[in-house]
Amino acid sequence: MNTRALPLYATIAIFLLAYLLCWLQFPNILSTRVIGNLLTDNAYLGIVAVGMTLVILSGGIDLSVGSVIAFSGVFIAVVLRDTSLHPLVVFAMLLALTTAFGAAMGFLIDRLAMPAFIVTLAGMFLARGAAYMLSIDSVPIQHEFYTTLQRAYWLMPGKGRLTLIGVLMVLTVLAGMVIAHKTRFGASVYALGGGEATARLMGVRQGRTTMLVYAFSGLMAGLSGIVFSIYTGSGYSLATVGTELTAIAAVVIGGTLLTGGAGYMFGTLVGVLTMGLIQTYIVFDGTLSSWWTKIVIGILLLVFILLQKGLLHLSQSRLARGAA
Amino acid sequence: MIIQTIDTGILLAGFPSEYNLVIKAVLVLVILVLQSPRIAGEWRLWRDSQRAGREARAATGGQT
Repeated sequence: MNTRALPLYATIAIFLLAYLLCWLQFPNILSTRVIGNLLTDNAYLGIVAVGMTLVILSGGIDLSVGSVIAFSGVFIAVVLRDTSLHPLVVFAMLLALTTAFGAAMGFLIDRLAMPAFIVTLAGMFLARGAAYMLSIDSVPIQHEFYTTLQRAYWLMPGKGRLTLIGVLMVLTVLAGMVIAHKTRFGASVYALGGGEATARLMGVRQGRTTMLVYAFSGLMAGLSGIVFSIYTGSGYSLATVGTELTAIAAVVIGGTLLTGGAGYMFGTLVGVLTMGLIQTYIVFDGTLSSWWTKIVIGILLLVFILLQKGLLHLSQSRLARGAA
Repeated sequence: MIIQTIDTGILLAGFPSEYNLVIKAVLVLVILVLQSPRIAGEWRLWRDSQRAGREARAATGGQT
């Protein structure tokens, strides 16, 4: 059995077990309506977690994504309010901007040889500050195209709605899986996460890969901002505070090693859905406080970090035995 | 103390409070550049080459 995939198997097992327990108490939780809502409500988180997975796989971290989502929403709302540009043009402008922002952070991390934590923390301040500068109020988005996007869905059997943003999240995860597991760039990301010296010996262009990883994360954060603005129908500079930490939690629960070099994109999707399932259970129950979501996620995180530590210890002792 | 001083300084300088985070981010970036081991190394290299050039000129009495 592949020990590296053990956290992924554990995530899937926990998700299925949790779903089974929920189903025993509330049989309706298996309806297509709930499944559709699970995808819609967590679409923005799932998309941003795809970018975060690649960043963590490379051994880095991106703290700016939550602020970039908020900036994206405010940017779209303000530009649509003050100009006559079509939303698709605004989307293209925004994605170019957030991708360049991510690439600039990647460039600084590589060129300054500084920890990603502090560079992306500055990026977080910058994006949130830029959102405040655009508007400190909640700006509603009133555009026909937005209404069309919000109303777009495919009716599943059982009257569940598979919304456009839910489909976009699934497609993004699929694209992330292809990039991480089937491309040369993905292999470079894994090599970089395994160790810089090893990556250099393998011929990985470290600077280029780092820049591309953060550019990808910026692109995903921008896309997530678009999805969030469709979901809420507005832009607000104080929105999605702490989303970066939720995304990191989803990635870790999904079985990706925080030190980088090991993990699966599919695990992140299961991690996001597990977190969504906890929220859904609380809504179904009706008596529990929403803070229980945080408590359960905290416990899950602890379990997965301990599991990762255990696996690391196991592989190190195996290596030591092999050397002896 | 430094953070509070920056906050107060920004407000006293007449900037709107919305600019606070952006100015803080720029300050963090400047400090990052100053603390960067790569930038420090390149600065040391440049300073040493300047000093070596001065010493070489002094040794040859200003004749190159």
